[in-house]
Amino acid sequence: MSNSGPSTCPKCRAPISVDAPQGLCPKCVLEGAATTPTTSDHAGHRSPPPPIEEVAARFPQLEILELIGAGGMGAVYKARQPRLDRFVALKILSLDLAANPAFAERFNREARVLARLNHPNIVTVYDFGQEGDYFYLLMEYVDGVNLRQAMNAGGFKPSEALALVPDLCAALQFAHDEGILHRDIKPENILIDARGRVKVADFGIAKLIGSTPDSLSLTESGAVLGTPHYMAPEQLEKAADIDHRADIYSLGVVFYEMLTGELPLGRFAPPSEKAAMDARVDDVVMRTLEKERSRRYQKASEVKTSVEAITHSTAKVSSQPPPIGQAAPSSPSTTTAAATAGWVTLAAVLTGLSLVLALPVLVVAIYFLAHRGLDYIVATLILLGVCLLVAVPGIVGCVFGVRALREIRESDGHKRGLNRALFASLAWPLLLLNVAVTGLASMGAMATQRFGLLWLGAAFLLNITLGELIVLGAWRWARCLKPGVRASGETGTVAVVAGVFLFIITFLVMAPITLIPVRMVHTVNEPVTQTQVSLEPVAWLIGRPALDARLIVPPGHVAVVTLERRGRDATNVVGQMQGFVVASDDRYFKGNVQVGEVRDTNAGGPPHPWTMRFLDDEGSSGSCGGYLSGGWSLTLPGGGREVDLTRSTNDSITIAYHSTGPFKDENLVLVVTGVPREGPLVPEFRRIDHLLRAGSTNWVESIQ
Amino acid sequence: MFRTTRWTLVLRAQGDAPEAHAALGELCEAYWTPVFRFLRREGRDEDAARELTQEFFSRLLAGAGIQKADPVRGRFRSYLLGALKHFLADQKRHEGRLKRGGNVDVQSIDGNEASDTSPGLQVPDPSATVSDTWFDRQWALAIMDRSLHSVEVEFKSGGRERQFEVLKPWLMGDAEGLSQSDAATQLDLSAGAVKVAVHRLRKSFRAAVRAEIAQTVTEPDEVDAELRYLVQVLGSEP
Repeated sequence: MSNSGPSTCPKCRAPISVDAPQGLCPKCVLEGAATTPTTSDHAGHRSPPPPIEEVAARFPQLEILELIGAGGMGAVYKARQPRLDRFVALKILSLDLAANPAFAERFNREARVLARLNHPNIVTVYDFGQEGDYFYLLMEYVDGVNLRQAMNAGGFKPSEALALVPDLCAALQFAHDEGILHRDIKPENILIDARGRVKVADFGIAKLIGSTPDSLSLTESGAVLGTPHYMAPEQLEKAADIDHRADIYSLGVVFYEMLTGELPLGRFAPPSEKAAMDARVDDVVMRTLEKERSRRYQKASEVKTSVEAITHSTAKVSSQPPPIGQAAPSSPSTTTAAATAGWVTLAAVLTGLSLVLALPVLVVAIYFLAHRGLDYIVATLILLGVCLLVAVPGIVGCVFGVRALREIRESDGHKRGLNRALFASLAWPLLLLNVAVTGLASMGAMATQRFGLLWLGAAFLLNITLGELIVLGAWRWARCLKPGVRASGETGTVAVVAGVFLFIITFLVMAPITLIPVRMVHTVNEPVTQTQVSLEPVAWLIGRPALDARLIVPPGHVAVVTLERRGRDATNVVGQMQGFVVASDDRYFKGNVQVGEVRDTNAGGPPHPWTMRFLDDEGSSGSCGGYLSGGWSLTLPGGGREVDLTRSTNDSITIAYHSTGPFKDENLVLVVTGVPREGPLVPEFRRIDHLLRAGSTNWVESIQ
Repeated sequence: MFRTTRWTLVLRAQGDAPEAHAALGELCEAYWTPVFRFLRREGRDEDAARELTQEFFSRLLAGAGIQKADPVRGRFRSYLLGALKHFLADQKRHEGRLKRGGNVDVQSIDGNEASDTSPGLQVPDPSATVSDTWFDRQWALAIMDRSLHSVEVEFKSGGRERQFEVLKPWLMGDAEGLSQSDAATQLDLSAGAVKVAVHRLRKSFRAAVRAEIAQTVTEPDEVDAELRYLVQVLGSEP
């Protein structure tokens, strides 16, 4: 014994005596050996299973017969319930687990869920709880062997394996329907009782004791503990995100092992190449073993159906084995077609219908309203009501479309009807977005009074771009593609179709807006005029005219106004309205004014005359009038047919001239004649012609 | 599942079966030192203590005391101490008889007579009563020694003898005086590798201690209790 160490213990500072072995402080050394390590040490340093006497003492209502097995999770004892006269298996979970305070809560929660699994092929949990330090599960006792022992005993024929698998699938499917995953399917967990019946044990135990990948710990040398051969690839990589399909993979590994006696590692051969069996089994097995879970069977019941199809039909051994890794078989019994998301066709139809109907209905409504001369606000409300009516199928379609999209996402992009769902859910929102963007652009043009085309161009581009981004984003979301993952070629088709759709609706939305109504406010001042141009898109939408020319005639003037619509070549007068506007002057106009009937006309129809009569308090009467033709109408202040000039508070009166037609490619001619008032209505005309090109603000003025 | 320990073997067979005999022999060989030291502590010189120890064990192996061992009170340590005290009491009676002249031969005080195989007249100092706790402490040291030795052998066979030498202070725990970076330099390893090696060493030692103790008890859960007791004994005043 060399005694070359320090003379005092570096840890407890006590002197190290001469007879201390190897010169080490005995107290500290043995103390170190006595402390159990904090990280659970799988290599056999778990607390040993409690002796039978102790277990019996804790569970007086059971007869503890023998220890059946012990593993990392705990120990299982065979016991008997005297009152019920049956054998049970008592599983005592390892004491190390009980040390964690959160464990009790989780244990109760999980065990309650497991106790719901009542199925002939699942080892039933009768009871669970905590006795002192021990967490226990009271389970069905299976008198038999586990699958590992059965395979080791030799002579496991493929036909026997095929006979077991459907029951395994039934057990899995039952649990999956209850929302419970097994997570640890392996031959040791599959029991076969004396009558040859299969029972799956330890459902969800892995989750119950918290065997998340944290406990799939690495030894210092980097080897992974436990056998991950049965674990699905996604379980090894990111186990927090697994679903029931991981169990299907594990089932596949067990299946393969049963058939061939080997594990499917690396590039493995299909089972029929390793043992004599029906080659159709290959497709089933390979599909359960797909690395990508969306390519596997999506339900255990589907596996069951496939296997049963093979065993029930007459066996036909194909001459050539299929190539390795082939996708789903073409046999009609295997359902390869995934389900379609719910009501997706209906949603698409509703949305389409509402879109198609929207435009005609709106046009009719506008037309209807325009010719009624209704008040601005009333007309707006009626129009909104009509919009809503049209929108209802659209809204319903949109809601169903969104639901369908969610369903598709939840199925990992596997369900069909994605395109229909996209259309149904996005068509109306995109349309409304379009209107919003275009509206904003037109407001911008209004505010800046220039760059109208630039604004509209930007709006057009923005509409298309935003729309495409939204459609493609939703497509990727539904397909569960993480950012950065490349999508398949289908993206191209979707993008193109979406682009065409967006182009059409953008055009339809923007076209009317480009025909921007122009309001001109024209003040007659001798001799100069001022104009103001403003836009009134809303007025247009509800049938108000596209041109609102307002004349403000200062007192002492008589203005003769002619508004002409001319054709393209600016000489052909298409419509004309002319009238005298007489400004009030206290001296001369008092009393009531009567107005003849005014009506608007269609373009090209006969002119309608209008007159405005007035009387002064001296009994003089006079009139002014004109005629309407070519799509003009006259609105008098107050909306009525009379103008009471005595009550006019302004020094001038305003008469609005409205046009009901669009002015694109036509020239507006505003002819204003201002006349100074001299004497009783002896007009002296001064003609001022103004030529206004649609969209421009340049006046060409000629004053005689 | 639970390996039969040497002591359980001995108890069950009650000294009859040859395997039990062999097991007992191994146990005695293992815990020779605490007995020897106990006898030394009582005041005997080294040779006398040695001889007496041999006598005790041969008596034990001859089967004299095993029948009296109580299987319920599991631990070999307690048993051995009890047997030793019993043996010493017998010895005192024997010596007393001799003192009172029961024997024909005249005993020389120095004990130089060649014919006399009995140890010299060693009168133990009655004032130096060696406590049971002291014996247990020696027991603990023996356990520690044996465990260290077995780990040393394990490391040697793995070609890591030097590692064992350099890293064994870490069996006392982590302390300011212990620099892992120095060790890393000495062993030409990275810091991470030293951590790993320390962990492995502790693990091996822990296993060795538990294995040693397990041989001396009957139930596996007694290992923890025994180890705790031994630590406690080492912590108290010598």
